[in-house]
Amino acid sequence: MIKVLLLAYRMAPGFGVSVVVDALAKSLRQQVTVEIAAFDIEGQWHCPIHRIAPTPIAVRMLANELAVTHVVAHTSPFFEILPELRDQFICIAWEHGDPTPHLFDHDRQERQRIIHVKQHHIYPNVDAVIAISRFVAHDIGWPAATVISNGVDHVSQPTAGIGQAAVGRQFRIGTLMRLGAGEANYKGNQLFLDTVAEARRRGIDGQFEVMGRGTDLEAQAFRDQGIAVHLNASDEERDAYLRDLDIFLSCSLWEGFNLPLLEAQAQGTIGLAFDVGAHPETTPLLMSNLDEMVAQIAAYHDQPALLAAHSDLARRHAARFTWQAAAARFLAVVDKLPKQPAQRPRYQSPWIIRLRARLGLVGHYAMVIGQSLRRHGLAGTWMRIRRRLTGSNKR
Amino acid sequence: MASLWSETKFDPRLEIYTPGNLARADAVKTVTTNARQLKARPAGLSIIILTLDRFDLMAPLLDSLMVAKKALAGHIDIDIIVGDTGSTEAALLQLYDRLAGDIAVIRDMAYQFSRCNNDAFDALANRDLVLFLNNDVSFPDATEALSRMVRHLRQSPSTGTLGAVLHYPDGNCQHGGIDMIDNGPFAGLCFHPGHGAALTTRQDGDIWPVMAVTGACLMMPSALFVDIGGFDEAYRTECQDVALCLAARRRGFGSEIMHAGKIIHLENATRPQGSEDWQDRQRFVRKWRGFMEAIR
Repeated sequence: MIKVLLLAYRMAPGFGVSVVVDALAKSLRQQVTVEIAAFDIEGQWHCPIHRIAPTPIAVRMLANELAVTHVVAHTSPFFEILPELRDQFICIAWEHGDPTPHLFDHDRQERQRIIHVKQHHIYPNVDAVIAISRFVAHDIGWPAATVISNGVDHVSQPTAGIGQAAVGRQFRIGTLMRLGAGEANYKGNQLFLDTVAEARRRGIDGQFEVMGRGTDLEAQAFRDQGIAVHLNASDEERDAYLRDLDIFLSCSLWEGFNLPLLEAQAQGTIGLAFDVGAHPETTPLLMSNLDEMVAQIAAYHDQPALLAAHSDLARRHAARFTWQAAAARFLAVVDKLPKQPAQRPRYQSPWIIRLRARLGLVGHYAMVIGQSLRRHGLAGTWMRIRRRLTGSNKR
Repeated sequence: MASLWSETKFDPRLEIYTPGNLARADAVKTVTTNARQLKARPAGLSIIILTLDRFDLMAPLLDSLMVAKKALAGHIDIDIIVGDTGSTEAALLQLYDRLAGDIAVIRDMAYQFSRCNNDAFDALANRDLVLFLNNDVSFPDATEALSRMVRHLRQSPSTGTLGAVLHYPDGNCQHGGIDMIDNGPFAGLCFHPGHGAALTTRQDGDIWPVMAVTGACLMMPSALFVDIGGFDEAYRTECQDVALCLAARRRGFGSEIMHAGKIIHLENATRPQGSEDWQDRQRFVRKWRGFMEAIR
């Protein structure tokens, strides 16, 4: 009997991986037993979530207690633990991808290291790698990964034929992004500001809006440009925002899937995005550059019939992505794997796996500690080690 | 319905994410403002033909277009623009001299299909309709074919790009519209339905909607060409015409094809077969496959 444990570092509102894990578990539960465990838990989810420290010992104990057969990690640091557990469980890495390190200034090296570790120590030492898009399979350097697209039917979908072109109300163009400087380059904050400026220069009379996590101080740069900012909204407010926009605009420069882009389309909002990341798979309206983006927005502004037609087109496009299909594809992957670790080929016997995993982990943690010492000093590193070992999330 | 991309095994040559994400992100950030400006263009037809030598093809083509130009003068004013990419054939150069005043020749262009057509358009296309024409197309009656195409484009404002059915010399169909491959390793690439077969289900005068038409004979409103930024110059040798039609479609203007007589196209008379450009194809599939699937 298959019993699956899904692992994510964080289950909290506003995080795409959390939505994926929750919706996937809900769909999988119709056919197999599923448990979820996370380190950082907030908000309400469809099934109870076990709180767990991201250590091999803690995961092994919980997995034994729940009598699971398959352990599926969705995020680091649970990815790094998988090889260690492989002697006892079938282990699967479900990759959501890592933003291109060069889009970050402050922690580029650490991001490169994480990618390197996964390519060299994780993917070769798990039973299967799943990627949420064809792009992610390519981007993580593991083309053998099985691609399972996310679903989007967790959001309520309007009836066919409802276009967004409401006569007599203001034309609304909005985006979702984290407003802080840390992810500004990756999320394309400046590109959004440039797009708004160019749209206004071309006479597009509309309300430009941003929703996202951030502070009033971080929001000021947007407000100064006359952009309405919705800070730290609830999931309900976010759904309503995506539904009520005429155009959802993604200026992000890397996306492993871009669930909000598809969530907007599922609700009949046109989703425009640039030709980066997995956008070719998740929107039919892909723009090569800013000029093309603004020209398309202008066309919607000037032609309500086109806006309504593409609203329908967006909804039909999104309707193809279902969690039921994702669950079925996952179970097909599971079906092809050995039912128990003992059924693997001899060269993958438990003691070889454990030895390889331990050697890999020693190298991995040596790099982590070395990097941490350089960045945070001895005291900071010790605090982080203690936090990891005790599972305490207090700073 | 076409399958999700995650369910398709692709031909390795169609690895659409070959340029890494950083290169794609850099390309997005590069501002390429559309230099083409909307301007008032008087009614008429600008015809743009690119050529490198090939007097044997150009002479009959220009002859037939000159006949049409004279026959339709006052009714449809036609400007003929030749973008010459370095011809040295004496006969062709003498032909240019002989037709000076009736045709405009832009000499010494460096060949790149999209850029040369765009440059020729920017420089000299002053009519409200434009026809992009290959040098290896020949008309049995250009006057009739062009007047019918122009009339249809004027009467059908929802048509963005209008092509013509093209034939092989043996009468079989060379081009009757372009469609997309739905599934399999080449999903997202295009093909010519009915290519090489006898055109039995269509008759002279028929017009029908298609996904796209070939740039070998493609007529469209100049204003729309300007609005969508012209041919995408990122394509080196292929897919520019289909991308142009889809860009028009994205603005709400469809593609149609007209059976306008037995127009001959000596396919690949100027480009050898087997010179497929997989980089162009990767780019095309990445950008347009989702859209083509969505509009089905």
